[in-house]
Amino acid sequence: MNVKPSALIGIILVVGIFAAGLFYAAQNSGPKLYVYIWDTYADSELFKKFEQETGIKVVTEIYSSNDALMAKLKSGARYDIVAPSGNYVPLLLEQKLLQPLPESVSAIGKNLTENIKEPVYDPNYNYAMPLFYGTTGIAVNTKLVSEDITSWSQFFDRPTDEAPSLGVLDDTSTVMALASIAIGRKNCDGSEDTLKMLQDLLVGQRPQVKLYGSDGYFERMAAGEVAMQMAWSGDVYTARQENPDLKYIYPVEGVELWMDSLAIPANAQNTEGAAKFIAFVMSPQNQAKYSEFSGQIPTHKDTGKFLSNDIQNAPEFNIPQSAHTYVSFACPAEVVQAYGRIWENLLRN
Amino acid sequence: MRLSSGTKLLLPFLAVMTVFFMAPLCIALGYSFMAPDPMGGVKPAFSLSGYQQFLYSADLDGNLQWDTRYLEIIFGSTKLAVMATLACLLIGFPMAWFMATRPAHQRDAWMILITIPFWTNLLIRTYAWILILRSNGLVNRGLLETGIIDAPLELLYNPYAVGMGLVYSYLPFMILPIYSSLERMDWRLVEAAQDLYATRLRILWHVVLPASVPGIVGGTILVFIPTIGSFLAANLLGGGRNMMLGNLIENQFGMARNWPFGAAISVLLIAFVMIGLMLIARRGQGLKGVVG
Repeated sequence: MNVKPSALIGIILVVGIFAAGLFYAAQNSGPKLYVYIWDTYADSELFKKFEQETGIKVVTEIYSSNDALMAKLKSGARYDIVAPSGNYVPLLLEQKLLQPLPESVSAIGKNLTENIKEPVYDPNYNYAMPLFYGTTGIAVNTKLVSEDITSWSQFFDRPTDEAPSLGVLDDTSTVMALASIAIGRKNCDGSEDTLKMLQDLLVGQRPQVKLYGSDGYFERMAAGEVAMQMAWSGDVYTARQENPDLKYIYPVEGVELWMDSLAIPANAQNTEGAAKFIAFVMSPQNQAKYSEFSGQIPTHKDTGKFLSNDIQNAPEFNIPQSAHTYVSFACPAEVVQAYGRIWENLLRN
Repeated sequence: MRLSSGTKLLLPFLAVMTVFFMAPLCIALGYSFMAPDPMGGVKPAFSLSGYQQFLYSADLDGNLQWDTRYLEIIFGSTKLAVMATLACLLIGFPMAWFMATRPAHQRDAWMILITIPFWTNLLIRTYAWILILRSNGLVNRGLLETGIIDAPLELLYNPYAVGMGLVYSYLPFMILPIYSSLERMDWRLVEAAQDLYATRLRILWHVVLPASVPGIVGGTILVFIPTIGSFLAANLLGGGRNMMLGNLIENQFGMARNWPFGAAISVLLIAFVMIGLMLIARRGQGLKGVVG
């Protein structure tokens, strides 16, 4: 038989796609839980354990900014579990995008560690169950940076003759909060004077910035692509496992203190499964495991005995008493818009 | 109502286009004329703010000022798209020529080789370029170990890396239409030109090039349109340091929380591309007269 190679490949493709479709359909029967979560929190091993225990299949989708999460929920996308940061919970509540947690879930709140108990925006855990917390500081690659880094000014204000080597998160609210700490102004201040200072600081830093990005940034830290990186503490821990030259710094001006929570969107379909999921993740043993994966600090007070010594002694895990911490919160709309303009000014050629 | 069988065959296509193409387009058009909700989304009120913002910005006192920031971003993206399209043409044309001049049984194999990159997702291929080009990537390590360079070259996170990513991603879209034009060319014309002692350059210019014009036009359209709106390459290979049109639009639906503005830029981009296409279509008819 004389078959053209292209025809043969076509036939193989069609048959393959059909078989894959059948396989997929067979795999996907049964109850499902749609989890929309931070890219660094997609712990497939833990989620698989949940599947085995409950028979509920977890379908994971990831995001790398709270704004992406909010835009997606706002557009009517349906998920059963989301993980907003504390400063976005009030915004989601205001827009009625979350539903109350079942009482059994809220009750877990009494077992949380003292450090983060009763957040002001949801003190009784009616809508959001704190999952991890941590700080935003600087990761320094000690092999590439010889000077002793202790402050934000050493990160934002580099010598102008230096080659670009800095990594900055492309998360406007985080960058602005940290830049505000660096210049000693209150975040969300919004005065013309402060906005001008923030813009000057960031525009001045740009020639030394190698890249603005949050997707996969800890892999870049681990690979030694950047000398210094604005970073979320847990990601530095994760990256440090691969590259011991990394060091997490609490700058003298202060760090941002943040918390991520689990919540159930208002339009969730599998509320029961979502409640089971939160209870599962919040058990001390599972949360400890989850912490080892994400590098973030667990919120349950009894996780200690399940955590490795390595992680318990990690600098990312132990916020020094001396460190100034600023709890992150959401700015009013007009300040958000002004920050957006600064960001656009920064990145236009 | 009775439909002819020809029209019936068209129905699935029309249904798909209505649901997945026309409907989103209408939503974007509608949103572009509404007021932004500070939390993201739109307020159901008529407003031209989305379009106004494109050319004017409000200062702190609320006065409107002429503002060329967004025009600069459009200009930058257009420039990059034009350069990428030209590069695709310069690389793609010889490749298409090479393919078209192979014996018939070899051409299919070349076709398959050209389409192999499509078997892998674009995101993964773009990430692969990061691994190849970064400071301790394949290229730099190779050059360092062979002693050609002393310090790693900065190959990533600059406009050249973005351009290279775009050329790499969209090159097949240039090669395939030109190849199909050349493949159908009447080779007897080339022989006739040779018989008349035309130089190779003259044959290329007067015989081959005119015959491949439909392919060049098609390829240019297929490359230019996706590159002008692309944001993957700018984000990953450019390190997000220079905002492109695609990034600007994405930003409005995320961090900037200004959906009407994002929708308005999209609508303007579509209008820009459509006007361009209409001009090409009109010229194309003229060209057909010349070639045919």
